[in-house]
Parts: sequence; C-alpha cells; structure tokens
Amino acid sequence: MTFEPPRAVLLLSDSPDRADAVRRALTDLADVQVAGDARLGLAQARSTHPDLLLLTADASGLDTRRRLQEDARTATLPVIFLTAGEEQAQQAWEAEPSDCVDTEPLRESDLRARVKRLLNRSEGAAHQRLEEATVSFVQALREMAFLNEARNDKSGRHLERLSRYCDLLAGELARSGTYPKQVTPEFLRWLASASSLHDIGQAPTPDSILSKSGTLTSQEFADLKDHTLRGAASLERASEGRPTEPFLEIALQIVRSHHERWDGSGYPQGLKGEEIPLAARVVALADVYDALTTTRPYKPAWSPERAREALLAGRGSQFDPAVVDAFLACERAFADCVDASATASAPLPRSLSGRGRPRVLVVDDAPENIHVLLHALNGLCDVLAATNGERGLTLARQVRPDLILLDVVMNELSGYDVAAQLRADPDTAAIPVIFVTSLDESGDEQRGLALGAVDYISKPFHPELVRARVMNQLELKSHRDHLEEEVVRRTEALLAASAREQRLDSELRVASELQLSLLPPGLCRDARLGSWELAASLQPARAVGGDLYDYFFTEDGTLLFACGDVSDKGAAAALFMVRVHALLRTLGASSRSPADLLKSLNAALSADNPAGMFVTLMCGMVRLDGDEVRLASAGHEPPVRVPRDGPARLEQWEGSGAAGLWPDASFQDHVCRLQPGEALVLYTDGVPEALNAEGQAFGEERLLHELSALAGGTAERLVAVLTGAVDTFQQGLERYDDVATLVLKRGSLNRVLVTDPDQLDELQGQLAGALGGWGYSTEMTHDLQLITEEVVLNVLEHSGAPELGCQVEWRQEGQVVILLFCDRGTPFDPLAAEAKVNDDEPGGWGIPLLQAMADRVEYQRDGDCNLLRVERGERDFSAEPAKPTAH
Amino acid sequence: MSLEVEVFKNDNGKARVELSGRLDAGATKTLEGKLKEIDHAVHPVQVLDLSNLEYISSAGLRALFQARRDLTSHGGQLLLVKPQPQVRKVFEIVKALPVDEIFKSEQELDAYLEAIQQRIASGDGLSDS
Repeated sequence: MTFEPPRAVLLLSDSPDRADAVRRALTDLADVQVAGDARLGLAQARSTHPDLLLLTADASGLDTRRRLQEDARTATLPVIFLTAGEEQAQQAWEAEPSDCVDTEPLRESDLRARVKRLLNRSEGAAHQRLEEATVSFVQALREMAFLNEARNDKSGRHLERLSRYCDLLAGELARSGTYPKQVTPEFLRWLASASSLHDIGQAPTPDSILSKSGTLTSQEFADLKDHTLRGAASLERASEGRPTEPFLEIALQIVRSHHERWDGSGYPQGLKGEEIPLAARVVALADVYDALTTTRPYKPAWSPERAREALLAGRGSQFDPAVVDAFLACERAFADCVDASATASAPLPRSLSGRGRPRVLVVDDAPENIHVLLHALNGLCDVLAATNGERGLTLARQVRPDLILLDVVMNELSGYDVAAQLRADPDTAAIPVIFVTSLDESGDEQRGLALGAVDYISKPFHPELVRARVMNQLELKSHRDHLEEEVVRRTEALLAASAREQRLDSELRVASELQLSLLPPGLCRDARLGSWELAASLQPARAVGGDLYDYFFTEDGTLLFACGDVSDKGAAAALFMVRVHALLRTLGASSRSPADLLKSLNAALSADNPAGMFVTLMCGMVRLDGDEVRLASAGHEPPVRVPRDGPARLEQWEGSGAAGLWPDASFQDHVCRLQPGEALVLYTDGVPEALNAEGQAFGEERLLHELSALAGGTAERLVAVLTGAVDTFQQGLERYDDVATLVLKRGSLNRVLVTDPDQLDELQGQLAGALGGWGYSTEMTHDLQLITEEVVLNVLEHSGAPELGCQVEWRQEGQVVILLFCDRGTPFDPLAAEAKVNDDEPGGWGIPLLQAMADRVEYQRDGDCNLLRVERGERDFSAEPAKPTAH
Repeated sequence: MSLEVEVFKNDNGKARVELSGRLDAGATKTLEGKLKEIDHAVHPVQVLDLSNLEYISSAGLRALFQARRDLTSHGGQLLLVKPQPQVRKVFEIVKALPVDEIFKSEQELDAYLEAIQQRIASGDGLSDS
C-alpha cells in the first residue's frame, strides 16, 4: 500500500522521549510534527491541516480537544488520545476521540496500527463516495425497471416477488453448497436487485404485443424474443464508461440469457446447460413461477401446486435441475409469497436485523479472557462465547452476530484462520471482526487488515477501552443497517405508490407519475416569483421517453429554468434524462449564465458518453427584479414570445448544437427583455411534430396561431391550452413523442404591503413602472399614485393597527386598472366619513380627491379585513396633447 | 423622485420659489423648512413656481395651505403660478386655496402684481382678503 502524498500527524507533547517514540512508530507511515505546548499546537492544527492529531489525555489535552471541536476548521480532525492508566482512558473516551492508545507502556506497533487505520479511513471516505454512486446508479436502474413494468403488470408486484424468489433460491444454493464457485458474495448481494432489470429491453416493444390476450403471431413472438438482446444493448449503453461492476455483470447475464433453456432450445443464443450463467438460470425459473401463479393477459393464475408440477416437468429440459431442487427445498416460502401477494398488503418481504439488543460473539480459548470480556461488555449487548475457532464459526453462522471479538492466538484454528473462513462464507462475510491480541509484532496488523479486521484490542484489557471500541463498531454497524433499511423503505414507498395507482386501473398514469416525480410541480408557487408566473407540463408518450423541464432558484435568488429533449426513447433515454436533470441542479447553482451552464453541462455529458446520446436543451436565467431574461440554446427549438396583446413570434438567434457530443462546443447567451404581461414559451419537438390522422404535423404556424390567441393569458392557461391543442390535433391517436412545455410570464399582477409611509416612494415607483408598461398616460399614473397615497396614509392613520400595514394590489382588467387596498384594522369605511373642507381645520381632503380621481370606489368589510376597491380607466385629457393610451 | 425647492429673492419684497418633483406626504418637511428661511418682513410676496412640480397630494396641499395662512397672518401674500394640469386638477377638486391666486402663466401673475402695486400706490393696504 502506498501513502502518497505523505500524511502529516501532529503530536502535542513537551516530552522529547515521547516525540522520539512516536516518530519511530510512524516511520514511513507519516510525517510527525511536534508542538511543545497547547497554544502552538492549536495554531499549527489550524494552519497546516494535519491528517491526524495525537494528544496526551491530561487536563491540558482534554481542553485542547474541546477547543478543536469548537473551531470549524479543526472540528472534524481525527484525534487519538495517548492515555496513562484506566482512569485517564475513561476520561479520554468521554471526549469522543477517534481512538485511544495506552502509554503504560506505549507499544509502537499498536500506535502504528491505529494511526494507519485512521489514515486509511480518510482514503476510505473517497471509496465510500464511489460506493454510494454505485448504489444510486443501481437504484436509478431499478426505478427505470419498475417504470417499465408498471405498464404491463396488473398486480404491480411482479418485480418485487421476482427479487424475493431469487433471494430464496440463491440462499438455498448457498446453504446446500451447490455451485460454490458461482455462488459468490457478489452473486448473493446483487442477484435480487439485478433480477428487476430482466425485461428492461421491453421498453420499445409495442404495448399491443405485451398486453395481448390469445396467441401471438410468429412475428410478434420474434419481436418479443428480440427484447433480450435489445435490453442487453441498452444496459451496455447505459453503463458504458463505468468501471466493471459485479452488479452490472450479473444484470447483463440476466437480461441477455433469462430466456435460454437448459437443453439448449431457448433464445437468443441457444446456450446449453452450464453455458447459461447461473444468475440467468435462477431468474428463468423465478420468472416462470411468477408468470404461472399470477394472472396474465393470456392466462388466469395457477395454484402453487399446479405451478410446482409445471416446474418439475421442466426439470432438466427447460430448467437447471439443481435450481429446481433448490426451489423444491424452499417451495413453502415461494407459496407464502404468492399468498401474501394475493392479499396485496404484504410488506416488502425482505428481512432486516430488526432485533433490539446487539449481539456480540467472543471467540477465545482462554476462559479467563472470556470472563473479563463478558464483564467488560455487561449491559452493553448480548454476549455469546465460543472457546475454540470451530465452535466460533458454527455460532457465527447460526446467530449472525453484529460483531465478533476474535482471539488471534488459539490452538487448532488460529484467529486468522477463523477470520479467513468467515470472509469466505457469504452468510458471515459482512460481520465486523475485532482482533484480540497480545502480540506485539509489527506486520501483524497488516495480516489482520487483509482479513477484514475493523479494530484491535490488546491484552491486558482495560474494560473502558473494550467497551468504547465495541460500542464504536456497533454504532457503525447500526448506521450501515439503517442505510440498507432506507433503501428498502424507499423501494417500498415506490411500490406502494404504484399499487395505489394500479387500483385506478391506469397503467399509463403510473409510468408518467413516476417520471414526473423527478420534476418540480407544474405550477410554481414559490413566493420568490413575486408577480412573475411559471407553469410547465410534461406529457409522456406511451414508451418511456426523455423529455424534461425544470426550474429552481439559485442561492442569490436567480430563477433558472430549462426545457429539454433527450435523443432516443426507452430506458437508456430516461436514464440519460435523469443524469441531465441531476447535472442541471448541481451545475446550475454555480453557473453565471445559461451559456456557462450549458458549457459545463455539455462538458460533463460528453466526457462520459461513448454511446453518443445527446440532449437538446433551452436554458434560461432571470433575476426577477428586472426584465432581462438570458437564454442559451443547445440545439433546441426556438422559444416563442407572446406579448401581452400578441401576436406571438419566434425568438430566434444563432444557437449551438445539442449537448453531449462535442466536449468543447461553445454556447452563447441571448438577452430577451420581457414587457409586463409578456410570456416566453419553451417547448420540445413533440409540439410542432405532433401528427394527426392525416399525417400532417402540428407545425410552427399553428403553434404561433394558438399562442397569439392566448396573448395576455396566465402562464398556467398558456400551458394548458397549448398541450390541449396538441392533443385535440392528434384526435385521440396515441402520443408518439413526449410533449414538454414551460411558460415564463412577466407579471401584470402586483402586490405590496406598506407598513410605513416611507415605503410609499418605492410603491409609487413600482406602480408607475407597471402603468407605464401597460401603456397608460402620465396623468393616469399621477391620479392612481395620488389615490394610493391618500388611501394608504388614511389606513395607517385610522386603522388602529398601523403595524399590520396596508396591502396594495394593482392589476389590469380589460381597459381599466383595479387598485385593491386591504388592511386588518378596525372596521372603517372611509367613504362614509364626513368630508371636512374648511380653512381652520385643514384636512379631510384625501377622500374627496379619491372619489374625484376614481371611476368607481367600493368599500367592503371582508372577514377581518377592510377592503377598498378602486377602479379607474384612461380619461380624455383634451387640454393636453394626445398621449399613448392603453388599447 | 423627491421634492426640490429653490428660492430666488429680489429687492422688491418678492421671493420666487421654484418647486420641482413631487410634493407628497414625505416632502412637506422639505418645503416647510425652505419657506421658513424667507423673512416675511423683507419678502412679503412669495411666488411659488409649480411648472416643474409633477405631483401633489392632499398632504402637499395642506403644507401649502398652512404656508399661505402663515404668510397672510403676517400681512404677506402667497401666490401659485403655472401648475401642470394634473396638479391644477387637485387644487380644483379640493378648493382649499382660492383659485384666483393660482396663475396659469407669468403674464397673468405680473398683471396681478401690477394691479396690487397700483393699489398700494393709491394708498390701499397690501392684504386683500
């Protein structure tokens, strides 16, 4: 193992002897820096970022530990305490260090092993991220499989049962020792998940074939057979560029060969006997069993007994005899699964270690050691003991403990031998092992690590230290279990949702719901939108496709939106879409402009895209306190601008090609200023390319015509009417392509809450902006500003609750402007108040002004609100030269 | 946009005050402060030029009303000249200030002041209301 660049360990100690000992222990492992006092040590820890800190567990060391934790720069730095005596060890562990090492005496090999373990852990973090990426990739693949399945599975649980059957068969094969070379830990871990993908190649198969009752024609049968190869190809495409992973290998074997038969009469390759991968042989049986015991378009459900007879009849011809035997051994569990499934409310049949207290197995051939360990672990966990290696292995297999404490030196089987056997057995391979050792030879820890030891405890034991180390490991294990549970819970939730939809007997809805669940809601209700509106829609075609829309706010309040279309259809396209979606979210947050975003998105996609998939994408960014929408296009359809009073027109500029193909493609920003009430419509090619029964396309002209008629409408209405128009045009024909639309509209509805007269200036400015935008004269603006000032000041003065303020809203209705004033003060009708105009008591002029300036004023007490509605249209200012007026 | 007030004084007892911008509730303090700087005894006639005043609200009217009352109580006179139509409309609606003291043009104002000069010359008092 190489350690490059050299790791830095910082030791806080004023003892030269201690420093020398530590340097010796860590020779070639890490650079040791020494700080002679706490102040220097803290400063050094903050500035040089060592990988690890060694502290003496005295009062000063504990204080230093506290200071490190309080400082964000050093809070996560791993710390090992050097302890002297049990009391100090106990105090040290309470400060929650990464580890402790006893110094009475300091054993250099022990220190070295522990430092190494912690240094490796930070390397491990990177490895763990890779692992997480794999898990989420597997999750994505499975979700796609469920999505596919939702179309042709009435019960909605085919894949779930299939996974369960595979689990049962694999477990039985492992128990009986059948095919030991093929039943590896990887096989056991991934088989069930991978089985979900077995029919992934069905995506492009016409649904009429999949759901057909009665006999298939030979052509249809050939098409159906073809799906194994298509599935394998699409899975290969989706996984290209990833390092070889056991999951993908197993999944490929299953997808390609699950229709092969033992006697060589299957398809697509006609493989025979053990030429067929074991995973495919297992899935073949599980798949047929499930098909037989559930209702399919072409047959009713068979009883488990009848299904069993059928499988037996195929033993040695259709199925691997050993797999049939495994089935017979656990047939009861299969039948239970059918029954549970029939009641439809069965939980996901996957067992987890849901028991309460953790179990620890101690394997040691010295009774006094067992006694000390039992004592040390008392109350912490259930302890089982074995006095020799053989017995330990048996117990481990039977009870599957959460942790094993394993003595290294034992007669007959040594601790290393036991560990090796535990690792080799899939049932026990994942159980963490702590070695108990009195050896003091460097090099031993290497051997232990290679065998998967997670920690060491040295004799003689400090009970506190034993407890702390065991606790540490049990907690880690519980985290791992929790993670696994979370995956199961999410899968379950997905299935529950799909089952709910199934009851509505709408397969299409399940598929679209699942795809839509990735996207934000069709109507954005985020308060940050202010007066802007954003609505979107995605109507998936029958075959799962790759259109998407998205919108979100970046940290500085910029709204980012996008509409895109992935090439191709089917699972691979949908997966690519998931990737584009994720990239938009991650890269969007840090991009300065849409072109910038497309550039980095394109670079990311094309760096890892040997299958040559691509996406056309229209991205936009807008700061909602302005009117400037910046757009950039990657080979996407030009957006349509719909001014408040029409006509709609294409917003065209020189764009770039699709993203995902050329890593150094460049993209340009295009600025588009929206007037109040003006909308920008993004759409995918599913709109202009929609075909009617006569084979005519919807086309650009029709698109512009439809949108012109909607000028001034809300964003929601534009989306609804446009998608409706496309549907109507297709006259009930099955949708051939996804249809995605996104409409961004600069608002013509404005609302402000005023709690202080000082806010009036800003409000008047906004009002003037809106009225100017709508094309009203300066006189109209003056009069409406006057009305606003009079009413707002009146409310703040008389409502009795100025702190609640007065809400002002303005909008345009036809040819008039409506001002709405709302406050939560005491009931007060300003119109009923006596107008006082006299020289001695100046005042009361506001209301007469209001009444003279307004065309209509209405007061209403609405719940706990005073509501004043003012209506005003353009007037004829004959004394003035003609001004532009609202249409 | 806020209110700007500029004061021009001459030796004939006349001060000319140009208002520009917006005379709303928030701007009345500005106006009051500027008018206070004019000595009533030295400049009893104050002419407020409204040609650049774009906006006036009831609070602004109130400030003008009080300034006028203050000046007349000291024997002076406050005159308004050249309001923009939207501002004139506000005066007309409220009728708080005599409309005959609001002049559409400089000529109208000069004629008015001329008449007053003649009245003074013929021994009448300055105050006419």
